[in-house]
Amino acid sequence: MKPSKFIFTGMLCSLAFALSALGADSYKVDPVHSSVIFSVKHSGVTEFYGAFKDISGTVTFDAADAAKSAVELTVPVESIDTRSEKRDQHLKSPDFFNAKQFPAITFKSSKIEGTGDTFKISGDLTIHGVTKPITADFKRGPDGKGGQGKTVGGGEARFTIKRSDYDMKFMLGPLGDEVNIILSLEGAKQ
Amino acid sequence: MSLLQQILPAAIVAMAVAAGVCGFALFWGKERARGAIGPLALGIAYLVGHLMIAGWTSFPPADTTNWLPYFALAAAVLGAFFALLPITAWARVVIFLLVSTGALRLLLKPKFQYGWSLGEGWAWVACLGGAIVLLAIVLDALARRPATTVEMPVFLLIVSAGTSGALMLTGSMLLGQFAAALAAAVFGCHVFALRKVALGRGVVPVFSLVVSALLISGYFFAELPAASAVLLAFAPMPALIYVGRSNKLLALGIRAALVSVPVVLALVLAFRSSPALDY
Repeated sequence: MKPSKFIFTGMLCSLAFALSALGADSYKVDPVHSSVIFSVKHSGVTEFYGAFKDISGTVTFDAADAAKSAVELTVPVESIDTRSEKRDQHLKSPDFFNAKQFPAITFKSSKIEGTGDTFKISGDLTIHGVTKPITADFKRGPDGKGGQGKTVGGGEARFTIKRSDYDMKFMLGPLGDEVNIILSLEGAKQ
Repeated sequence: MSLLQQILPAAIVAMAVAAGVCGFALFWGKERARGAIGPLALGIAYLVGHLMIAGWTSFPPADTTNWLPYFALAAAVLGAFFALLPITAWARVVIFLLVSTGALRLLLKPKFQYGWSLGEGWAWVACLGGAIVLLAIVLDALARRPATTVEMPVFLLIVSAGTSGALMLTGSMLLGQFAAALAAAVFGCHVFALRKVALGRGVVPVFSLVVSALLISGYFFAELPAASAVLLAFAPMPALIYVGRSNKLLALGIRAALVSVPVVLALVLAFRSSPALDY
């Protein structure tokens, strides 16, 4: 290849890369304004609620082409909070999350589709060392201004998993198998 | 109540499997071949009990405590070979040390991933492997004594039941249930021990590896105090003390009491550090 052609091709590639980067916005998840809430049926009576106090990760969002978007999240198991220290300790034990063996819950998207403010996010959810594919509906909120003047964006997903799919089978029956999860994310645009 | 509902079927089935496999020994003519039945009974019964409690998990298991049924099976095969083949004592020690080292590396994989440097990890594995071999040597010495037909199952039962209690007290019902499955398997073997079918030396690798793996899991992945784990691991040691031969029943009682002392101490320590799950 002639040097002039080589330079031209390089410039085109750089331009394409710059344009694609321009299309996608990257958000860093803000743990203070994001929530991970879960509920599970207790004694077959009613839903019991708990939360994880910490979450980190990034969301890359391309408004023009959702397929180019991506989500990566990490939730430390140590941050579990069910308003009872004893219960939190038990949930972190080998009976449930086994936090010393599996310190984090992770999610990595593999496919995102949708337009406007409603998206379907598919990806791999890893809990208790077991990775399973999940799909969740994600409703995006409008962008706003954060406390430091930065643009913030986010949205919410609600989905249900079975804890037995993640080899968490202790006390199945008295404690339900289905776990409802509400994931509310807010992040500052980078 | 729900805890009992979860553990009882597994314990009963483990007991029945152990008793059933041991039952073969009653109709087995050759003494050496009969020795292979004990480890297989204990190993298979534990495997069944564990799977009934934890359910079938993926292979290789993500949660390393689910390696335990595979350890039990491997140690059972090893114990059967030890019973069938004329292997020298040193060769047994070396082979068992290698198997224990491999098992510990698998069991402690998360510590290698998140907690330890490679050198630190292998130092732990070497020390713990040595401790497991030491427990096996103590149990082997007890198994070689003439009055062991009933003695061995009694000692193993005390230690496994104590391990179950200590693990449950320190916050892991699941690990405690696994130890209860081991105790049930030992008890199942015990039924035929009363009919003069000794568990034999072959059970030593199975029991040593499984009970040690439970205690190590309890210490590293739950809240079992180190002192409790050490006391339980070496609880059979005082049974080596010579207590005379005049009255066999009295001697058994004294030795059982000697084994119970560290077990009770371990339970007290576990109770004191108990997180109390009465929420």
